[in-house]
Amino acid sequence: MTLAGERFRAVPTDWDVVAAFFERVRRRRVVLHAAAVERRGRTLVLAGAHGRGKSTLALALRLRGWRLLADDLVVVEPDGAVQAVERPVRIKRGIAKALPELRDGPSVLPLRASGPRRARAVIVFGPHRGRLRLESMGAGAAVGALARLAWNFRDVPRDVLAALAALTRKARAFRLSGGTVPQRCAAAEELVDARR
Amino acid sequence: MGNPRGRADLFYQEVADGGVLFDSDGEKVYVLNVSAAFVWNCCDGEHTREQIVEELAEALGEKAPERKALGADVDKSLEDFRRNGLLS
Repeated sequence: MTLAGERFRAVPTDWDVVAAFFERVRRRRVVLHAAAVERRGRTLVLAGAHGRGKSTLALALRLRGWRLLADDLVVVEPDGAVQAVERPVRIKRGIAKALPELRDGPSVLPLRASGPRRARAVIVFGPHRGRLRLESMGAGAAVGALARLAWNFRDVPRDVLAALAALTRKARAFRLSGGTVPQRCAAAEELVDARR
Repeated sequence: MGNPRGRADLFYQEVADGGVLFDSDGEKVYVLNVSAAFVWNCCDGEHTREQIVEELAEALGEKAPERKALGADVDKSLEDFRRNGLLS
């Protein structure tokens, strides 16, 4: 089938992807409100409530050569491995304003599927305002903060806490607040490039 | 007052630097440092306050502060648990 001279390919809608995803993972896994990006095989999870800037940072890092794995939903397996949900990324107006390079591009970006992987670091987003602060978080504080960002925490609290504890045993956790987008990008790059 | 006993309906998870407690009634998450997590694990209704202090001193070994300070730490953890309604 062709449409407007181009080959038409049926793609799953955003809702199809989300519904299938929830069906697959609703028990024993954590559904985290987070983006995930990767550089040189090192995965960084960006977790935060709506409007905290995780999608903006994820897309800004993509412009700097990182692979964007997910911009909104990440699954944490019981062993702490993370798996991105390849939900298409919508370029919202606010993001296009912060990243002018995206203004003239497509409004929806498809993402390639990716398998489970170990996260090198997790960033929990704090407020936007003020100068850049990137502070190391203890495992307990990180699990507490991430649990609040898990969609299914109330349904399966024991499983969520266990999976997040496994995640923070392997990945260092940081709280990020303030700073400009380029400053946040530089901080993320420093994090994944740092020796452990 | 009897020996401290943690509420059975709370969710506890050990983490690398202590523990995390979730109270689904109040929808609150409590982050416990290493010694508070140790105290929580002793809140089984069997341990007396003195036994908790003794076992914590043993667990900390050479790193343990003097007994009086350790007792104050345990009291503070127990008081925090009580104040937040985490004990039954």
